[in-house]
Amino acid sequence: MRKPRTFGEWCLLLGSILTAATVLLSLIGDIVAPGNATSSILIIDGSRVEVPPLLPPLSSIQLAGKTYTFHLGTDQLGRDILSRLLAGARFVLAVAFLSTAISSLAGILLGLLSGYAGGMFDRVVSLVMDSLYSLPGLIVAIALAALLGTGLVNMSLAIAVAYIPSYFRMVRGQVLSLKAMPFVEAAKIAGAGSLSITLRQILPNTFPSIASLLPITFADAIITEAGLSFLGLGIEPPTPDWGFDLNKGRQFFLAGYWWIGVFPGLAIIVTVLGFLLLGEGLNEILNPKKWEA
Amino acid sequence: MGLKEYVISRLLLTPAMLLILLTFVFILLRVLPGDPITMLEGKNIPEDVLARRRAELGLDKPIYQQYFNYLYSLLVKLDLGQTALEKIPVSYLILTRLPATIELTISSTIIAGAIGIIVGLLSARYQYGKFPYFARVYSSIVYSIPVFYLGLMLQAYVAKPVGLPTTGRLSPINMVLADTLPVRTGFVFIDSILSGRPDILLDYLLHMSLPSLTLGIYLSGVFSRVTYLSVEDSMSQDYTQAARGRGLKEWTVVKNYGLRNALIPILTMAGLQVAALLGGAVLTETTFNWEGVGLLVYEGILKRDYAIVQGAVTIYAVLVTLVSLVVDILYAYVDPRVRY
Repeated sequence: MRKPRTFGEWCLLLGSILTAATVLLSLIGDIVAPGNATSSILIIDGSRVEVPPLLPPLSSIQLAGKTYTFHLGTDQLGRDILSRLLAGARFVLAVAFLSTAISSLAGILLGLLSGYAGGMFDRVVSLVMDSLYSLPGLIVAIALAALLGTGLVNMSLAIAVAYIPSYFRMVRGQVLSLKAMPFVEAAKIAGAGSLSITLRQILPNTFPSIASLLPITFADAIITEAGLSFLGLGIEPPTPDWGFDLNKGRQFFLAGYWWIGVFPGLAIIVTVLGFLLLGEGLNEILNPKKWEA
Repeated sequence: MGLKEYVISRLLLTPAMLLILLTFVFILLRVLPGDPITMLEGKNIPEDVLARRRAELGLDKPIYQQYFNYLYSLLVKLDLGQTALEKIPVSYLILTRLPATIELTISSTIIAGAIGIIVGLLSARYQYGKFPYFARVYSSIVYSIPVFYLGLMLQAYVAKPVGLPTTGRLSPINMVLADTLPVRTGFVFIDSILSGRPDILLDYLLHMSLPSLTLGIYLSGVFSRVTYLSVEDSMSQDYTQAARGRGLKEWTVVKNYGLRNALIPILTMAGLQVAALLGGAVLTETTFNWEGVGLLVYEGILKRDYAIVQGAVTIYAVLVTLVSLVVDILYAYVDPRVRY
């Protein structure tokens, strides 16, 4: 493989590495972690053993005759932080994936319909989307999450609603400009129907922009998820969740047990950064002319 | 269209925008699945209690009637309902908390703007060096740090060694004193100056430094990105080349031709960031116990009091509309082309 040449290529490479590492670790990371993510009880050979709370990182202790290493230490309730981070990663990634899927599909569909149909339908949908877009995403998610309740699907829905307008606006704008392109005219003259033109001529041309927006939404969704769970709107405890752990552990963190706060925070940063760089790199390579904020 | 006509037509448009946003908030909160009562009191409450509570809140009426009630009580009576337990008017709670949020948002916008402009200037000056890459990496990293995590880190690693306060707007004694000041607008900054109390002002500034820094850094990522991009754009225009050709110093070119022409996109972006700012404020206020609307939202969530959450969302919608009005007028003032 050749060395990356431009800034965009570097972003893409670094982003892919970080993203792949996060996903891989969330799937197979349990091999190195003791595994008591939700309680201080570790089951060793059928007997229940209590893990001491607030163990510093890298401490190895003897439990029921075996040596266990807590790589990132244990929290205020004696739960292994690494195990919690890994289990939390699966949840966060699932929420981000689901909400990105929902918001992109809904946004693309509405954008295509609105842009191609025009008229009254377009005006009403655009109005609703613009007002949703002007509201703070986190606030919309808070209001919805408070109504819908906790859990994977509810949380994903609450986050997804806030990001539908981004896709809608992008796709609608592109449909409007693509509609006037010669190749669409040509397809029309050749006798292609509206549906065929929308799906065959217009939709594929919106893919590059969509592709570079997807990782950004994904990163945004992770941050919003962390914010929601920090505010207590995530999942029911004791299921691991990064934002919730940060809120619950903050007194201990401020009292000097740094590993309780530092590691969940780093997990969020690294995961988000990975997807962000991926998006940035893709954007630079797929849409070279307009590099917008 | 002159500036005056533009401002008038924009003002006339504002009620319509507000109505649309409020309608939207109503749809979001009432029409979508989910029930404020079960959210409040759990899913296992008896049928008759559920029916009574629904009737109390007017949730048993047809949806269009609920909609008109919502708009009527909000716009005519300025009523946002009551809290579930203490029966305090939500509008009163929000009104007493609003100054704190406005103080925080203004001070953090100033910090973010300052960082953004410095980064933008430096990357325009050293356009062909490594600095622009630094600016982009900075904005990506800042973007990926959750606000509350940044706040916690500042509390642990800045506030503690330096001795800065980490919770609230004032220390407890001044909290009481602030209520006895001759001038009371709710804005501690204004009250303490007008009442001639530098001690309270100092205490206040110490308390607000970290929350503002947290929210300011959070916003500065987007600010520096946009400043950098728009300065870069204006640096590649012909008039900049011409200015260079006339032999002006590079810094003069950057300041007077690069930055000045980049101010319009920066201003637009500042307006657009209000939404992000208010969202970030909820988390910052929660982290620092800053008694603004955001902390109220958090308390509402903890107490499972939906009236508070709904009231706050409504107020945020109003704020967003008002700020976009101000930004549009400023924008028209700066750039005559907007007025057509």
